[in-house]
Amino acid sequence: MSGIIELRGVDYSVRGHQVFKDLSLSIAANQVSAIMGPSGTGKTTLLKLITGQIHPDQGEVWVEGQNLKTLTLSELYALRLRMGYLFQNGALLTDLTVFENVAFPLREHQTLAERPLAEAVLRTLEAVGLRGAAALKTAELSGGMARRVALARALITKPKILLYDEPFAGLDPIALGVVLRLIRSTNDDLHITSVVVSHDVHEIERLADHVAILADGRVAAEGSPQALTQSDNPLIKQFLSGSPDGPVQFQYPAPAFDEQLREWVGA
Amino acid sequence: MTLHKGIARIGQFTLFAGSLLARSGVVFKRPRLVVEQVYNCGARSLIIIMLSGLFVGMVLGLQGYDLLRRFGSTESLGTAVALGLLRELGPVVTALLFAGRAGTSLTSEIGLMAATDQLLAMDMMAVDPVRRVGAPRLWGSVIAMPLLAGVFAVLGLTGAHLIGVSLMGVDAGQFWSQMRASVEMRDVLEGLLKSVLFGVVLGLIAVFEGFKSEPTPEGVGQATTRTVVVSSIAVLAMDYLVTAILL
Repeated sequence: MSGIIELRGVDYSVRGHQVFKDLSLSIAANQVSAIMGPSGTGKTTLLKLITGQIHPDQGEVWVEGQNLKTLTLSELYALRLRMGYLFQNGALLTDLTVFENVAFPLREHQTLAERPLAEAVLRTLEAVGLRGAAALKTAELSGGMARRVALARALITKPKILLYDEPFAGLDPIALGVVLRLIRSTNDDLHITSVVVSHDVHEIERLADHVAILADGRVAAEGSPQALTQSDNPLIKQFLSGSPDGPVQFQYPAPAFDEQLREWVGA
Repeated sequence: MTLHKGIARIGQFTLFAGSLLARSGVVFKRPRLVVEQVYNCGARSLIIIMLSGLFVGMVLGLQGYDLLRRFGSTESLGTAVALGLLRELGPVVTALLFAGRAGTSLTSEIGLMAATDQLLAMDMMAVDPVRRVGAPRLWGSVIAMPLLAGVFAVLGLTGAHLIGVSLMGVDAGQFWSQMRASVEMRDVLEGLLKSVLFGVVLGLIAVFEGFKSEPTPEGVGQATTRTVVVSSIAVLAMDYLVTAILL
């Protein structure tokens, strides 16, 4: 099996805490793949590995057949031009209007005349339903609108891969439905690969073609959403049902209460 | 801060300054980015620089007049004020005010961009944030500093003239003619050299502190404070060095 994104035997630790242990994952092209897992399992860290912001301690990350660790900065930038990354908060440039935010990648990477540039920006804004908001400042946008502007900004360079970090967090049901439909239609209409990091079980069931669930630093289970809902794996059952009891503990690992209290007050 | 951390910080600063200078080609490719920053750092600092220049000049007029009167040479007031402003007070006071007005705003702006993932978002769009955000701000401050120091000196002379000539009765002809006879091109160049150097150092410090600030409200606040403290010390120490070398 060889996917457009491949992680092979990845180990990664931050300040002594091991996030991934021998993690392997393959993401197929032209699908919506979801990476799920409880908070703190390293979902966002996984996106950072895929975009080359960080490198694994062991193992390799391959994107479009290139080993990220061997790339120079300009090669990595060339690859990132074919990838879009959507931050949880949108990460729009706050001193620019909606129009200028979407125009930003074009102004930076291409020398388009003002008219074709404006046409491209307004068309892309129309695709996310925000052509009418072109003149707004970013501070005037709601959370859902900011994410749609960020999607427009990512789409304008016509990427082959789109990475979404928690695209549904904090959205009202209408905005959520809109974002959900946009992710699906963008993926299908433009024939791109979408990777959605989320812990929203029901949204992912509706959206994804393939789901990988992370736990204990590796992929605990993967498959189609339907296959996973029928799984007997106790971890998957706990995660999908949202139960506090199961293999994933509610309590962060800690010493016995009295022992910690003694350490804390030093008596 | 321990000695070890201090040395590490200087090392980081040197490396960052090197990478910032190496990415400065953008200044020629997209001069508009620099013009925006000259406006940001320079035009927006004009009021504070002009008012400060005027008052500093007025004080120089008063103090200079009192001092020169004791030697019976009040007609040299113009020369004394002009040399003081061109060679020392113009560049130094402008630089200190610039660090407080423009340096802090550069650091907090970049720090907040980092804290809200805007710099990372640029990096993800294959836009190098040091090149796109850092370099234009550095060169904006390099261009704005000598212009502001010039404005400061002009307003300072105006203030000294106001006090010395209009209030204390120094002869206007002597005020200007003595000044023209004594002030040489090298005095002007000394001030210009200092203000350009201060612009480089202030820009580097403000941009460095912004990029290296912790992405939290306290982190950005501390970075902003460090910009003022480090810039002020750097300006005064460099002023001594340059003066000692040139004299």
